[in-house]
Amino acid sequence: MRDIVTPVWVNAKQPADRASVVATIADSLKSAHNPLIIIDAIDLAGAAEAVELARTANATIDHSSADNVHFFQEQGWLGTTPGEAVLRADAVLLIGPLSDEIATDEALRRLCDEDKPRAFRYVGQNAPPGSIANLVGKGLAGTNVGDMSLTALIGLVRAHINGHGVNADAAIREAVSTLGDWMQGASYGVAVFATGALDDLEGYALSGLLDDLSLKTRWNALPLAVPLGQNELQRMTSSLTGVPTPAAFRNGRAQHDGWRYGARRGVARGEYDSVLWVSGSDTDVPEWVQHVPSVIVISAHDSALPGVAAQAQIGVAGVDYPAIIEPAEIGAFAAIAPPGRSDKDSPAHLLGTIRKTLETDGAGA
Amino acid sequence: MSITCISGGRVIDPEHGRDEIGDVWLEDGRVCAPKPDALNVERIDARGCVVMAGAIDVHTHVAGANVSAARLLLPERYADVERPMDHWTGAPFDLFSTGALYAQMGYSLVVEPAVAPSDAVATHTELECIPYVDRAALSVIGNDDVLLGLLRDKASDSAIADYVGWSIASSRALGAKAINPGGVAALKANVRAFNLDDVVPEYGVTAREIGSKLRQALGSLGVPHPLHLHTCNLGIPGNVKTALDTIESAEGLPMHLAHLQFYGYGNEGDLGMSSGAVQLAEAMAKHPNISADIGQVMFGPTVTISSDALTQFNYRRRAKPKKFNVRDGDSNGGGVVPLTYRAKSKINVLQWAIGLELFLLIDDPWRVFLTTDHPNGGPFTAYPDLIALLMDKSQRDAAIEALPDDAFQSTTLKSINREYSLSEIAVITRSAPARLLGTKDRGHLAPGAVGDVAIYRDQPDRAKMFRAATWLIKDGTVAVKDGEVLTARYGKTLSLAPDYDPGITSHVRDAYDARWGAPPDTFSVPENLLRERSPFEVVSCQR
Repeated sequence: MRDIVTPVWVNAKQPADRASVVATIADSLKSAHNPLIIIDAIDLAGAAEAVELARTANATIDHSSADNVHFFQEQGWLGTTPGEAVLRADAVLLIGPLSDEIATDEALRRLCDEDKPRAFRYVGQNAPPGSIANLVGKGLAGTNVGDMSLTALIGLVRAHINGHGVNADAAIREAVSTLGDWMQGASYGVAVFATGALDDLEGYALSGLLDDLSLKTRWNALPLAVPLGQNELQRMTSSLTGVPTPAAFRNGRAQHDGWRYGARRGVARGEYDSVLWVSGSDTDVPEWVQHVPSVIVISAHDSALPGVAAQAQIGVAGVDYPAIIEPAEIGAFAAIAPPGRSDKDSPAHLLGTIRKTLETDGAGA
Repeated sequence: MSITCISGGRVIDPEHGRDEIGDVWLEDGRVCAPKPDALNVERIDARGCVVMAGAIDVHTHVAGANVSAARLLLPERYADVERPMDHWTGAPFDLFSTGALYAQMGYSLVVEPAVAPSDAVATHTELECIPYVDRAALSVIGNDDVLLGLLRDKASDSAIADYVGWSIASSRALGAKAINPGGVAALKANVRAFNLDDVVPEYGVTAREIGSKLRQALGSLGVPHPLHLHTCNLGIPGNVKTALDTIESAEGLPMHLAHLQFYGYGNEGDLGMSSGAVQLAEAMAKHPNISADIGQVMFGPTVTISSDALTQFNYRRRAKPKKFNVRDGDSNGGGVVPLTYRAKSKINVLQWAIGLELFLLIDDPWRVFLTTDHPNGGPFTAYPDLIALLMDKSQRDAAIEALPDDAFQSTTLKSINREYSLSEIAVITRSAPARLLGTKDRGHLAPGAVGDVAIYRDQPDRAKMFRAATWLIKDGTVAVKDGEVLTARYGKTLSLAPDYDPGITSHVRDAYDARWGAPPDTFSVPENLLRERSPFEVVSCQR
């Protein structure tokens, strides 16, 4: 058993012991009228404990970027993995807004690096930044949507590949036929996009396009830069409750409503009086989260954060404790052993301690 | 030391030819010889009850990436009822409900038959969260780069066996399953139909060859469970020929066919689909090396969950509601396609009839297993209703009466008078599954067996009887009483530790590096997952 040291703070002042912070966090959840737990980077065991804590506290639980995957999870589509794409894709469509950060995505880097001849195009409001164009090399051709919405353009491409007329001006017709013909000519195409970059309508439209194309050839979707913790939380929430996030617990039973229980919407509407932010990284607590009256933080930060009612430090998954996570570049779950000994706590252990305290003291409002 | 005596019940233990009024004694979680002189014996009065070993489900999709994807795809179904645990809505149960519902029916071991090695860590984490029952998993093999590459390169049988052993060991499985071997790999090259002798593009091997090599490998490794095969052409009218060819292809070696009902389809008659059950039953009679779980269709909403990405890809536009999730994955990938089996659909009724025909026409209950291929043919919670249909011809006749008559034109179901006995039910749900899996201390009630005992109040309504065990004793402790689960306890995950040459990882390394840029042990399942105590129990690897 490791000796665990958990640096803790209350109102940005370091208290005497961990137990007092655990008690403070438990009290906060217990006394809250409508508590919210937001998960950022977390491992599978931490996600499981977060779900059980939410159940005990009658809280709502969501991932910090859960809005990004709503259409994906509930509408479904044809998808592939980074590994399959790297080995097989002969055509890669970059779709939607792409930032410089995506240029560092390992899956995209491998798609661009490998020896297999691969054609790239983009479609979006603007051309991708130079960092991505450089990564792709060979001159990145594409289609600027311009004033048209991406959804509408995808709809026209669907019309084109299904043999329907495209009622648009000549330039758009040309762009649509170029893109549609290129996609139809692929043997194994992959539409890649930054996780969260497409809105629901764009997601639905893309899903339909890939399905239509796949009547004759193969096209699949591949989200890039999936935030750590997103799939971990989804997997454990759905397994342990039957429903995905966002989920709200009422009398121990989870309810799911992608709109009603979405963390961002609820916080913006002032529906929550207490939020527990859990992150296995030292990423700053997002500004939108800080609108909740009481903010508690469990994260890898090693110093006190201002404006936080209580704070405890945990380690980093796979660095400070053994963790099962889905690295974005692999797209599958792996057990990661830490390189050495660490005295930092895991989210599973700390959240479990808080849950047991809450169970001992009685559940939330 | 705790001693329990289950006394006065009708003890049915087909493994030992026992069917008599008698007692079953338990000591420290195991069945023991009678201890009439023992003090402090806890007694369970089982008079008027039937006493059997805990039941075993050899093929039920309860965990894994595809099951999880189904939950994400269909949250509205699960949200529709007040107590999801009690109602099958067509979306997978949560893990707690899964264990509790199985336990209530007297089950003590369930096998998730489709664990992708690249998802084994997460799947085992989920399996660990299923309470009351023990769990096991089968590792999916047959569409992966490494195996196909070894076959293409004419690797030796021992190298293939070492790879199969490594795959089972690293994913902590109880055996191996091939799912449309070669066919899913072919889909990635845009092949839409794949038969037993079709060639996988880029690898130049056929499903027949893949199956043959896997059967040999499992035999040489001593893996007790024979190759668990989901063969080509699932669900396609005329596929009975594929099933018959597959049976022949085993060449006398042991092989288990998964969800045989979905391969029992001729292509004759007005429906363009007919029953091939008689042919399959005859083939089963001629080939004692073959066993099969049935994958019975039961009417109602469900969701098909399969690592046969080719089949799911081809069926995706039949989804109701109109949404699906199909993934090309590393190795098999998979797909989720929701649908409803309707009692008004002649095709669905024919599927229902074919499943029952297979149960009733295959004479040897030791080679038939009670499954619905949960949730593909229907939920496992329908087992009691299925048992009632098997045990009572009048119930079958009543059910048939309410269904469209012309759906039965190609079936023999109406003319079959066979009724399963309680002993035969015990065979297909206990004794035979334990033998098939090689779990020698399960599925029976002789001294030394695991103390998993299901006790049912004997009553004419067999569905009611098997829906709610009066008691389920799990590892010697009462887990269910009067059909209600008691405090949750978490059991074990059974796995094998086959003996293989670890040098085979040098072959694996290149494939893993090309696909993932990661080493071969990336997806190996560690000893501990969620809890400090390891969930794994190793089963002897010998036939």
